[in-house]
Amino acid sequence: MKRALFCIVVFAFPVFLSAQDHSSQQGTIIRMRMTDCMGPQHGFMAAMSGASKVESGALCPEYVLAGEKVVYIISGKTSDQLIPLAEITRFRLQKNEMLIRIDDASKESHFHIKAMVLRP
Amino acid sequence: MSIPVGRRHYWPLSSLLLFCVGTSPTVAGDPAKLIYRSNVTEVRLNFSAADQNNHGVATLQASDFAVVDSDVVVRNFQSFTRSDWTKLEIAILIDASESVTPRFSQEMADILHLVSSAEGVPPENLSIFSFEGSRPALLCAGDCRASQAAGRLPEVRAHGLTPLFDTIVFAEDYLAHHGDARAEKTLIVFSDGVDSVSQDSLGDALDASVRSEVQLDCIDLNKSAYGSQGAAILRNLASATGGRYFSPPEGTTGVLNALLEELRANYIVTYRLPSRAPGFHAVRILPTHNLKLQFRSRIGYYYPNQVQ
Repeated sequence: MKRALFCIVVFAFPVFLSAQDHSSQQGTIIRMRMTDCMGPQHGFMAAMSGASKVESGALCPEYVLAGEKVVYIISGKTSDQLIPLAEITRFRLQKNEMLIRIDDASKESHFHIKAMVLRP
Repeated sequence: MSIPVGRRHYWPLSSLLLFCVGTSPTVAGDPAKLIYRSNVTEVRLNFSAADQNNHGVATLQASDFAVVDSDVVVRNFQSFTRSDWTKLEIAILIDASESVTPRFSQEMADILHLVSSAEGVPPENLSIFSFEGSRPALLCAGDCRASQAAGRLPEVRAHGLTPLFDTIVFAEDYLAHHGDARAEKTLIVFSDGVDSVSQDSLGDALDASVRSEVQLDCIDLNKSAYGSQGAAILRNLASATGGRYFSPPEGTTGVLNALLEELRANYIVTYRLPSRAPGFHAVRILPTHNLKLQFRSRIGYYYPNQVQ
């Protein structure tokens, strides 16, 4: 029984890894500006539903990230949540947020998705 | 012997002739008014890089940073070089007002030290400014090395009004029209940031420094920077022009050494103009890999309505 379980884990692990790779995408940051920070409840859904915008006075970085098929407009949650402006930025999407691993950070940084447009 | 000209060679030849006709001098009777038009296609930016300990980075590569010009991320540069220390134009502004009297002798000693430390900078690239009454004054230019300057500087007395902004604009105008136009230019301000009589405002001083591409390094002569309006002004001047602000508790020798070290590790990057929209273009330099790197540059540049 243990041997069977071990075999399942061994064979399933590469499949799991490959599934992780597929969810990871890459793109290039083509624009960047500082803009008013979004409130904690504001994300893509709130922006699409037309909810009123809460401005705290602080400025947060906003990026235009051109993916392979979609162009995203994302914003940091704090003023110092900067993304390295390398040629290629790797990211993945989870629960209406974009997750980007910055440098060797142990955790991925979460960014609000403000808008998405299909690339022509 | 005639040179054969093939049929397909007529087109460039005729184009050249048309060009010659188009640029020939005006015929008699026409007003002799020549208009030279040029087109700006390149942005040139001086900047410095520092690590997390605020030490200058002397080994920066072009792939280590990107320029954000009016929101557009620029990674492809036309050139990237270390700035030439020997072409650096340094001007020093001495605040000789009553408000800095307690620290005046120390200030003078610091300036003399700075002047003698600036080895490698040609004497003609060094100038010192101060006030005379309520007006800016040029104390020395080209012959300010310690031996000569020591005899002149004590003539300045800590008294009177403070036309600080006027003197900054005056010195920036001098730097803009002096020496090599492509040389990096820096104005080191020894002051408490208090202005009492200037016709120019802080905005005018900032605007002049952005237009003339002069970096302002400000050494605060207040007893304490905490809650001081003058300190806030000096900080504002430095950050807007890509310079550094040094608060009062920092040791003067260390400050001067850090300043000279940073001036030696400055860079120049040029890139294609991303947008021809007239007006102010905000500029920011950000790292591409190492987020601990910090970059200092002027906050932007003006693109004129019509370039002539």
